[in-house]
Order: sequence, then C-alpha cells, then structure tokens
Amino acid sequence: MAEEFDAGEAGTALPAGALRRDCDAASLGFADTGELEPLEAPIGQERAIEAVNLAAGMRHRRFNLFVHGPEGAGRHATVLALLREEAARRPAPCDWVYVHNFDAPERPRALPLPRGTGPKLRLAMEALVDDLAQAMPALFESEEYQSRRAAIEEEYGKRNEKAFSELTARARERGVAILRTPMGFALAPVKDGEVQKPDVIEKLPQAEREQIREHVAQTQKELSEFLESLPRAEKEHRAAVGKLNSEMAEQVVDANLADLKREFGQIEGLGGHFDALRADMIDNAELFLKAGSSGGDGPFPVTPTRLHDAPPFHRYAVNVLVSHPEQDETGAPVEVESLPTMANLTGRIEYMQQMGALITDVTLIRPGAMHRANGGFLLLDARKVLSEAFAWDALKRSLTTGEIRIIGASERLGLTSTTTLDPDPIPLDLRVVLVGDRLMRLLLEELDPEFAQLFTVSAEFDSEMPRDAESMTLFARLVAAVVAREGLRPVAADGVAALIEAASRLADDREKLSLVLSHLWDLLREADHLALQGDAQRVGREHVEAAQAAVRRRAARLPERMQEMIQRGSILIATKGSEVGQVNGLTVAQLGRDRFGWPARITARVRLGAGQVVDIEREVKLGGPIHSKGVMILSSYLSTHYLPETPLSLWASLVFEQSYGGVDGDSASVAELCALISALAGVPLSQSMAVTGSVNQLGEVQPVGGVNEKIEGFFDACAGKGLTGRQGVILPRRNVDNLMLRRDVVAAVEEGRFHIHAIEHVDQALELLTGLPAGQRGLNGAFEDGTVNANVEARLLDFAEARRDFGRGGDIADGLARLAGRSDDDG
Amino acid sequence: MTADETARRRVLIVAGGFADAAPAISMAAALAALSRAALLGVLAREPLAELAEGAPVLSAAGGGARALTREALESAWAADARAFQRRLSETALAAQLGWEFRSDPGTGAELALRLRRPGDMVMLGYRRLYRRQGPVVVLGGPSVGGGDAGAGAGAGEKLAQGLAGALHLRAMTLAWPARSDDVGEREAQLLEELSASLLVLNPRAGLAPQRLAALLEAARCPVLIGPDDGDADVEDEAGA
Repeated sequence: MAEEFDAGEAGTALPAGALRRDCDAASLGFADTGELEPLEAPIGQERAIEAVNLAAGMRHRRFNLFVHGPEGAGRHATVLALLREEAARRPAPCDWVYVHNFDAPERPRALPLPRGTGPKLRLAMEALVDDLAQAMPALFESEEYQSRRAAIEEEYGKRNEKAFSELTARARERGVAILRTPMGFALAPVKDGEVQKPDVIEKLPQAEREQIREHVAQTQKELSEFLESLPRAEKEHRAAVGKLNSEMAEQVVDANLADLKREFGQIEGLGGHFDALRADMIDNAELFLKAGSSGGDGPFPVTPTRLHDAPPFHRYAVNVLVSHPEQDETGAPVEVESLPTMANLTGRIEYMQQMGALITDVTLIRPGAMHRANGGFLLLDARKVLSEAFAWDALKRSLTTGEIRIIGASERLGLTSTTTLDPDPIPLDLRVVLVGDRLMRLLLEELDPEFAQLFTVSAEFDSEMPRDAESMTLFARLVAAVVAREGLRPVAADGVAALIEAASRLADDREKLSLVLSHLWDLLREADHLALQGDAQRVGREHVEAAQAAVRRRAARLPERMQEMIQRGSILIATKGSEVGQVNGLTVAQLGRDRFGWPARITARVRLGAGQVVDIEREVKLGGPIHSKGVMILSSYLSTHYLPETPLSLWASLVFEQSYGGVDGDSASVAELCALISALAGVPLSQSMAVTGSVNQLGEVQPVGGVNEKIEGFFDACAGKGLTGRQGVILPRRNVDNLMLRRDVVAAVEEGRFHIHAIEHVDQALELLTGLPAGQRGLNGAFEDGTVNANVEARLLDFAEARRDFGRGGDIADGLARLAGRSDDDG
Repeated sequence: MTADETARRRVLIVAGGFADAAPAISMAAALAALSRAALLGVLAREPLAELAEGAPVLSAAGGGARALTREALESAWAADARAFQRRLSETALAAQLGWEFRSDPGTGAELALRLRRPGDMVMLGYRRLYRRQGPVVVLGGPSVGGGDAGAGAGAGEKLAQGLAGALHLRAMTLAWPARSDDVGEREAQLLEELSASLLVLNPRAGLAPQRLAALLEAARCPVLIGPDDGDADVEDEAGA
C-alpha cells in the first residue's frame, strides 16, 4: 500500500455549513403549536386538489378520477376530505329496493323510492304478511265461511250422491247389482238379494236372459254416463269453492292492504306492484292458512308473529338494498371499499340450502359498494381492484353501461348449476376514484384502452414542496392539526424545526420539504411518546431527534452488521493508503422505509485488447441495465478522450468486489472510471476517500441519489477503523443541495476529521484521489507530462502499437518488451 | 294396557283394492303415529269371479266396458297388492311405524272383523266417487249398541273430533237406531245426505259383517272402527 497525499487543498472541500440546512426555531415565530391555527387542508398539492375538485364537481359520467402519488402523501385522506366536501353540497339519492317479480320470478324488480321510504315499506310489508297469517285463518274458520262452504259441499255432494243413489236404486229395481272390484264397477244380475252366477243365468229361459242383458246394458249405460260426468262435476265444485275462497281472501287481503296502498300507493311503480301482490296473495291464500294454523302446534304454542321470515312469504318481502334518511343533511354518499371484490362492488346473490339444494329469492340479493355509493362517490385502491378476479371488469362494465348488474363469479365462469336470479339492473350515477401509483396508471393506459375513456382525470400527488418561510409556516400548522386531532402534546418551535429538518432529509433535498407526511407524523407520535416518558409538557427538538435516533437504531441491524463485517475485514474496505486500480465506491440500499449506505470496493484491471471494457457484473447477470449503460459510457469516454485517432486497444475489466446481490444504477460510474484510469495510468488511488456520482461521455459528473446515506455509511466505516483526518467522500457538485447529513458527520467535518468534496468533472476526482494533476491537453495536443491523463494516453498508445505489431505478425518480442518497459516505469 | 300390549297395537287398513285403500292409508298412518301402533294392510279378495264371471266392468272413468274374467281379476289383485304394499311401506317408513301386509280371501267387512284384535283400530277403505269435504261422522248416541256401548260412543266422539281437527273437517255425531244387521232406508238416506268424509263406528256396538258392509255402502266413505279397550291415550292425543 502506497503512502497517500493530502487532498485538503484541492478547492473542492465543502464547509460544514454546507452539509445540512438547520431550521432556526426562532424564525418560525411561535413558541409552540398551541399558538397556531391547525391546518387540515393538505399543503403543496394544489395541482392534485384542482384535479380532484374537477372530477368531483363534473357530472359527466366519464370524468372518473385516478389519483396517484407516493405512499404516505395523504392521497386517501385528502381525496376523501375533498369528496365529502363536494358530497355535502349534493342531495342524498333515493332509496333502492328489490321486490319479487310476480310475472317473472327469476327477474326481481328494482324500484326507486323516496329517501327513507324503503325501510318503512319493508316493515309495512312484513306487518301485512303477519297480519294476513292471522286474519286469513280466522276468516276461513269463521261461521260465514264455514256455512257458505258447507252449502257448496252440500249442494254438490247431494247432487252427485243423489244421482248415484238414484242410479243404484234403478239398478236394484232392474235386478242389477253394482259391484266394486279392483278392475272397476262390475254389473251383475241379482235375484232376491243374491248375485246370480253365470251358470244359473244360462239355465234361464231365453226371454228372461234377454231381459237381464237389457237391464244390465241399461244400467251400464247410465253408470257410464254418471262416471263420465263426475270430473266435470268435480271441476264445477272446485271452481265454486275456489270462487268462495277468492271472495273471502279478497276481503281480508283488501282490508289489510288498504293502509299500505294509502301510505305508499302514490309512489311511482308501487301501484303496479301492489296490484300484482294482491292478486298473488289471493291466489295463494292457502299459504297464510297453513302458516297461520301451524302456529298452535308444538309444546309451546305461539302466535305466528314473524311469518314474514318464512321462505314461502319471501315473495312479498321488500329487500332494501340501500336507504338514506328522509331528512338527510349529509348529502350524497362517499363510500370506501377496502376489499373490492366483484361481489363487494356490484353486490351478490346469496343462496340457502334447502333439502340438499341451493335456492335463492329476492331477499337474498345483497348490495355492493356501488349500490351504497350510487349518487355519490366511491373510493377504491387501484391495486386491490386489479388484483381481485373480475372486479376491474365489473367496475368498467358498470361505468360504461351506466348501470349495476349483479352477476356472480360462478355465473361468469358458467359454473352455476342451480336456479338463480337475474335482478333488474339499477341505474348508476357514480364518480369512481381510484388511488394508485404512477406506474400503475401508465400500465393501465398502455394496456387497457377503456381506462383512458373512463378515467379522464388524473390527480398526481407531489412528494415534496419548496422549503421556504411560507411553506414552513404551513407545515407548522399541519403539525398543529395533527397535535389537535390526535391529542398530542404541543410541539415547541424547536421541535417543529427538527421536524422540518426531518422533512428535508426525507425529501433528500434541503431546499424541499417532503410531503410523504405519514412518515413524519409517525416520527411526531414517537417523539410525543418520548416526551410523555420524560414528563415534558411539550415536544421539543430533543424528543424529535431522539425519536429519529430510535428509528435509525431499530432499523440498524443490517447496516450495523455490514459495518461489523467491514471492521473485521470480512468485507475488504481500505480506509487509508493508496492502491492502483482500486477505489471505494458507495452503494445505498432501501428496505421498506429505511435506507442505508456502505462502501464497496471497485477494482479495474487492464491489458492489451480490442477496445473492450468488460462489466463483470453484467457478464454474470448481477448488473442492471443502467449500470451497464454507465460502464459503456466509460468505454466511450476512454475511446474519445484519449488517442481519439487511434484504435482503443484495451481490454479492461471492472468489478464490484464482494457484491453478490446485484448492482444497478450508474452512481458508481465516476468511481469505476477512476479505477480504470488508475489501472491504465498505473497511478495509485487514495483509499481514504470514497466516490459517488455518475459520469457522462464528456467526463462531467452528474448527480445521484442517496448521497446522505452513502456519506454516512462511509463515515461509519472510517469512524469504526479510526478517523485519520484524511478521509472523506467525493460527490457531485450538483448533489450539494441534497445534503442533510447527520450531526455527527457535520461535526467531524467541522473539526477537520472528515471531508466532503463536491466535484463537477472526473478530472477533479482523479486529482483528489491521486494527488496528481489530471492534466489538460496543451497546444501541441498532448497532455502535460507527469499528469494522470498523460500516463493513460501513453499506456493506451503502447497498447495500440503492440496491437498493431500483433496484427502485422511482426516483432512480437519488441512489442512485449515495450509493454514490459512501460509497466516497469509505472511501478 | 301394558307396554307389550301397546307394542302390539295395530291399525288395520282393509280394502278390496288399491283404489279403496289409498285414501285410507294416510289417515290410518296418522292414527297409528298418535298411538305408536303398527300398520297392517289387508287386501280383501272377494270371490267375485265365481259370482260374476263375464259381467261387464266399467273403469272409474266410465267409457267402454270389458268382461270380468278370473285371469283379469287375479291380475288386477296382484297389481293392487303390489301398489297397496308399496304405498303402505313408504307411508310407514316415513312415519317411522312398523308395518305388515297380507292378502286374504273374503270380503272387507269379514276380514276387518276377523283380523281385529283388542286394541286394534280398523280402517275400511272406500274410494269415494266424488271428492268432497263432508264431516267426520260418528255413529253414537244412547241407542248405539248395548251394555257399555255409551262409553264407547263417547270415546268415538273424541276420536272423531281429533280426526276432524287434523283433517280440517267438521265432526258430528249421529244418534243411530238400534242394532240391526242391515241399514234402514231412512238411515241410508241420512248418511247419503251427509256426504261424510269418514264414518267412525263404536267398536262395542256389536258389529256384524253384513251390517258393516251395509254401512260402508250407505256412507260411501272410509269407515273407522275404534279400539274396543277405551284407549284413553289415543283418544286424548287425537283430540288434542
């Protein structure tokens, strides 16, 4: 390991004050949030709010809304609040009920009713059934009915009995007996009350036999006519009884239905239903008779008061699908369906088991969220809708057709093997709001042509807003609102300041405030808890920072393990000395909410070749496409920056050492280029430094993400091994605004024990890492002697010449000797 | 009555064919269920072929007649026996009752009285030509039978009332003339006018086959002979 140089004079070092942006509590202008007016409205989301308001206010049915933005940005709560605001301005919709369709029982009828009428009608109908179950048997047991029925029975009974008696009497007079046999009625001659056997008759004189035959034939004719007349007589009899029953049933049904008609008959659609209901009740009066008379059975005779619950009477039931209070001040409904299955969206038809078969009726139709939200708003999580079978399809179909049709999944799949219902569809007047993320919206627009037709409005929630005096004041009022809403301790000004700093750190930008507020409110809640434990009256900076530390500690198992492996040498990271072709890169990982960084050794090796830079990560499929792109840019940089007129005769390999889990992103491309140039130039790189940043073909350094975590990760590694005062991190100048470093890192920089360098060109990184000038091309087109770039170009020229010599098949020994000599010089 | 005797109790269904037996089976099963009795189905094979071979026979629907032959009669009996037994077994199984079936020569009235044991009830099947909802008529009153017949008549009334309630019919009691082997013209006319759905007879009224047959023909409905041991439990339950 070579001696290292001091990079402190490079002019790129950032002062401690540039490493984070503290918030001055005194500038906030209040002592604690108790002095502030709580702000319930979201901040920084004006664009999204405008879109939501447009979708909420528009009545055109295709202006449904897709809301997207980062998790925790308050999408659901904000949209819900805005929708409720709009809903309150709209009238509540009507009630919807399903009733039996007496003409087509498989197609229950959907009826709209004035608000609050559904439940009343249902109760009234139940009372009607119960009343009829008592009144009907009473009427049929009444003296009036019994006497009229007895009269009919007597009339028809007598008529037929008399006819048969007369027939038998005439037969008897003729000497013919009517015998009942299993075959039917046999006609046999009798004499003196005894049946005359055939052999006896045969012995009778011819004239007597003829007379007997004539009498038997006459009786046979009369009996046949009588028997043939019986069905007709029975039909007349049944009709007479039926007529009586109908008359009696009409009396009782009309008497009981009168109140119902008076109260509800004027409602459109109910008049016709009442007529059909009346006719059915009269036709099926025996249902009430049986039900009413069965109440006295059993050891505990009871009055049949809840007969409307019995399945035979479900046909008279009113199934209130959705109802709103008559004097509704709350306006249109706003529904949130957290489990948007197809059944939960469009409703379902349930079945009950009866004698081993599944049956259903109008009372088993269940409403879905679309029924409940009809006339208002329905808020759904897009991912959940899309992950439920048929739910997305059902939602689109309903929005397209403008009606809710209840179709079960088993029917869709053709699996239903029992009788089911096809209820009338219900007209839909609904604004659907889907909450998802940007990628989902893009995918839906790309893959589902109907999406753009149905979800015309998009509301994108921002993840951050500028950090200025106004926004900080608004942020403080938001804190006050959370405090008020959740009954937390007032937050002191320095506590709010700490939260603002946390918001900037979360935004990864000290000029911004994160709008992923759920994380911040969790931090506030934890700080409040710590204040409670410390008997503090207010939540102060110390509580917020203690909560942040606790959050970091809880999430630190993995980073601590990484640091431990670095300290023990399991992960090879040098934090001092210099090495050729080796540099400390920086990586960052995100596990859920938590991000952490750590150094990774990047090495480069070069040799004569055909201009190929091998990305070993990509070769073994551990590198992502963006990383590969970064490596290709390096190759381009080399081939255009050095000897542009000469073929690049290099074979180089780059590797993230001890990386087994995949690498993506181009944030290590500056480090990789430095390692490559070091290997080419034979110039060692400082191991006290770590590098992050991406580079373009021109050598310009571009900003990257996660700089705070990366710096802190390398700081921890250095601190673990002992800070030497030479260690530090090189990062893109354009990332300086992203710095919101931990206070211990800032303190170390302030004390000169750690350094942060901001660069704009890869040459600056080379100078910081090598201690040598990078070198500019002079007027003669060559790099200055003794510079890094001059060494690189000389080495590449050697490679090119050696390659040319190989190509000629010439003096291989000379070429090899030249290369060997160059290597010796470098060493 | 002891438990053994209870276990032996039976309700006899006696009929000359399945058409007569069918309406009686369900009523008999209801009675048997009340008294936990077994059902005994009896198909009475009257010697009709000997009496009236060659006589014209009309089906219940009227229409063309065919001649009564021994073979046709035997065939009809066999078919009726199968149908009678099947309906009896199905009904008994549904009501969880024991059951037996037999087919014997003789008239229904003869067999009813011959096979009846103390405690048995007997239902003589009769298919009415014309369906009607006449009353359940119990033949009783002071003139019925002799000796303690009055007590039996009272029990018969209770039984008739219970059955009438179960069948949603009216019940009525007829003061019946003195016992005789036949039914007088006036009595027959009375029964005819009543169009009874069921006739309940006092078991202690000294029934004879000829009288029973005459009552059956006059009433033209099933005839029930109650148990002759004054089974209070049956009557009470039936009347409940």
